[in-house]
Amino acid sequence: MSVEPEVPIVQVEEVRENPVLYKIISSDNHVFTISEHAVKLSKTLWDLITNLGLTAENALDNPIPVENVNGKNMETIVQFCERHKYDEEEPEYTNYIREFVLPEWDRQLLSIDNEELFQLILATNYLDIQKLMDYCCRVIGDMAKDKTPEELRIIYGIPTDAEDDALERSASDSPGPSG
Amino acid sequence: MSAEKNWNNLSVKLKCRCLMNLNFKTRYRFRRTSKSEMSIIDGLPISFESVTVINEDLNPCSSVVIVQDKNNKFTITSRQLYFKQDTILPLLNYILEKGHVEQFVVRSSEKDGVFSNGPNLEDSVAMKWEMSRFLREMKEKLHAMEAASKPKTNWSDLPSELKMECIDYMTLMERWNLRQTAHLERDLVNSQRLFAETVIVDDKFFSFTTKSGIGNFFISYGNDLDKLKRTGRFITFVLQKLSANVLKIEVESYDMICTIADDLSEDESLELNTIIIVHYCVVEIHWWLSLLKKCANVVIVERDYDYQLDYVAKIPAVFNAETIQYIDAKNIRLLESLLKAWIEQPPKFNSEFQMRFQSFISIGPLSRMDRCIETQFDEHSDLLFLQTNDLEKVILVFQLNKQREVFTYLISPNQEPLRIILFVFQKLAANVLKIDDESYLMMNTLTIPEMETANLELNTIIVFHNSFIELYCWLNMLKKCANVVIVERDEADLNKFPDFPEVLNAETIQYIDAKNIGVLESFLNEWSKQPPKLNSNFQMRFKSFESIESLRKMNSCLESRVGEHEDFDMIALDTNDPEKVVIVVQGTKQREVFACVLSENQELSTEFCTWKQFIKH
Repeated sequence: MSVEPEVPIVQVEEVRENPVLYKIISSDNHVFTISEHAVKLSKTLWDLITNLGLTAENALDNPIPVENVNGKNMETIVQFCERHKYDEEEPEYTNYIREFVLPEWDRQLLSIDNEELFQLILATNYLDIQKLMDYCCRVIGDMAKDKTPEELRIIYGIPTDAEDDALERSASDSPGPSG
Repeated sequence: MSAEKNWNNLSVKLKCRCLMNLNFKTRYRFRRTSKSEMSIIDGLPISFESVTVINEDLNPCSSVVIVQDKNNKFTITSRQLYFKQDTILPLLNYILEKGHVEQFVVRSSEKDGVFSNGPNLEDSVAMKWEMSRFLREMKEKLHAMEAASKPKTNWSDLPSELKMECIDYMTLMERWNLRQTAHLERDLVNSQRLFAETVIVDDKFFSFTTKSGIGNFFISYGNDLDKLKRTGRFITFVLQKLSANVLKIEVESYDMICTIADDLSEDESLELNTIIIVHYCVVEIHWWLSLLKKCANVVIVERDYDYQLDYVAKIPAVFNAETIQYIDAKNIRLLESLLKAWIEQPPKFNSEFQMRFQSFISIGPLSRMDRCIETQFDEHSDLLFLQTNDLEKVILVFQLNKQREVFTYLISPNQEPLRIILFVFQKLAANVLKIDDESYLMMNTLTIPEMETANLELNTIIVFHNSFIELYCWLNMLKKCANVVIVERDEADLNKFPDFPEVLNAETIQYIDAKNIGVLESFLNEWSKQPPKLNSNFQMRFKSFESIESLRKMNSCLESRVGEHEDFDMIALDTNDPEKVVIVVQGTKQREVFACVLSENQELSTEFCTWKQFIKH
């Protein structure tokens, strides 16, 4: 797999210490380097790497294209993974309300506008990064604090049932894939 | 306002007469309240001399409509009529479809006297056509604006699994608000389990508390039936998927039960550690218990004296509970029903359970139960063994005389009856454990390995000391205990008990009816050997010493100073460890000696005040 990067490689500071590096290309052709420990946080990426048989020797020559994630989100994801690559695995949540304090660094990282945040959580879901997903869900959950249903509709962009029905109707009126 | 006297009860004819007198603007607002009002208003004739739309850049959100009829002129902006995200399109649609318009004008701005691209028509057909065209254009513009302003990615783009993950992080009220935004969101919120520490449903209030305190909720509805009805939906929502440590139900009002029951179907499930139901009526208790999916402890407080609760045993979740408490019970039918249900069940891994009844005057009536073929009654310990029709199963009942409580354990015949008591001690965490077992009945059933595995976590243990062996056994089973109370009956070998770390680590030790100072001396010796701890001071309270002077003779103390105070004698003893001193104070009148071991840097007066408060308490 040889995709020539058209834009400069984005270097993330923390990656330098790790000898095994991988290259990831976002949907808008930004190229990122990420360390082995960090990339392991993404189950999707790590599965891909093991299935492709990438090794320390050929990793940098074979960038991994990720079509569903744009450069901005990928940058956030790489930063997050590098930051948390040596974290201990946390026990799974069971029968209680999820309550934890979001670390300040991560809160800063996730202080982005709503649209970006929703894009980021979709990207995180695709790349299967459990910890980042928990954090994103927490931030999205926090957005609902002290909001009325009307405000929630605006913040989350939830259509009313009537609007939803109208969209449904207009979708069924359109020709669709079969013509 | 009573239900008979509101607008909805007026006839259509009367409504029409009322609405005819409203001006256009009010009428239009009224039209939006409900479908039936809309159809009535649409049936009323309406005409306009002119309709002017001031429509800068064809923007429907900022358009202004000026409507002129015979008597009035109204200026209507979209903000006056609807929520700010709405437009004036529905208003123009209404005018177009229902009204007779003599003149329709579109102007680019209010100041602009010259008509722009818009028509100024007096021919009614042409005008209608023109208005339709104008509306269509406006709609297209609106759609284009919506598409441009709508964020590309939002909540609605998340798959349901992700939405549910986010909902997991929301508190009760956040979920409730999200639930009201759209049908899809309601279904998602409803599907997620809700975790709580304690939930109380009462006739006067509803309370929801969590372990961390985040998301706690309290609402009081008092006697306000309307408020209760509004809250009913909310309570139903909470109960739909509730997992709680404790759910307490104290509802006497039948109206309230109906309000909640209307919305809650019986396939909803409560997963609880403990349910406490104060039982007022038949329907209510059955309904609550049938909602149970899983519950370890069922507590029923009997308030309805006329009804017998024997059907409770048929509810699987109740029957599968580990403990059942039935408080203020007046008859043994419930026990009998439970026995019957239990006998009919196939053997289970953990088939022993406890029942606790209050208010039985005597254990005697239990021996007459139909289900039992044989009874053995032990007067000495108020114990009753019941052999049931199923030979594989026997029942042990014992009564604590003073408290008038009957504890029942269902056990298999291969278990020794008294050994069931051990089951209680294996993992007991209690506020107070009191042991007064002069006949060593319980101790005889315990083996050393069993005692070693037992872990008692107590706030207070009260042991009547009859023999050193017995005291040894009980104190050995302690894992954690803040207060140790020993009542002296036999003084032999008591000076050995400070060897137990749990006793030495206790915050207070009371030693009542003490006859010698050997115990205090043992404590001092042990304490001096211990490394310093954060909270190393503890109190001891001895009774029956005749004089404080005898304490001076203790071998472990290097020096003693006797002080005098208004109401009490005080002695400070310096121990072998120069870091630590002991204060002993004797309240002369009470003939009690309080000993407190404390470090040198602690204020003596402060410590003494603490004692006094402790004594008063």
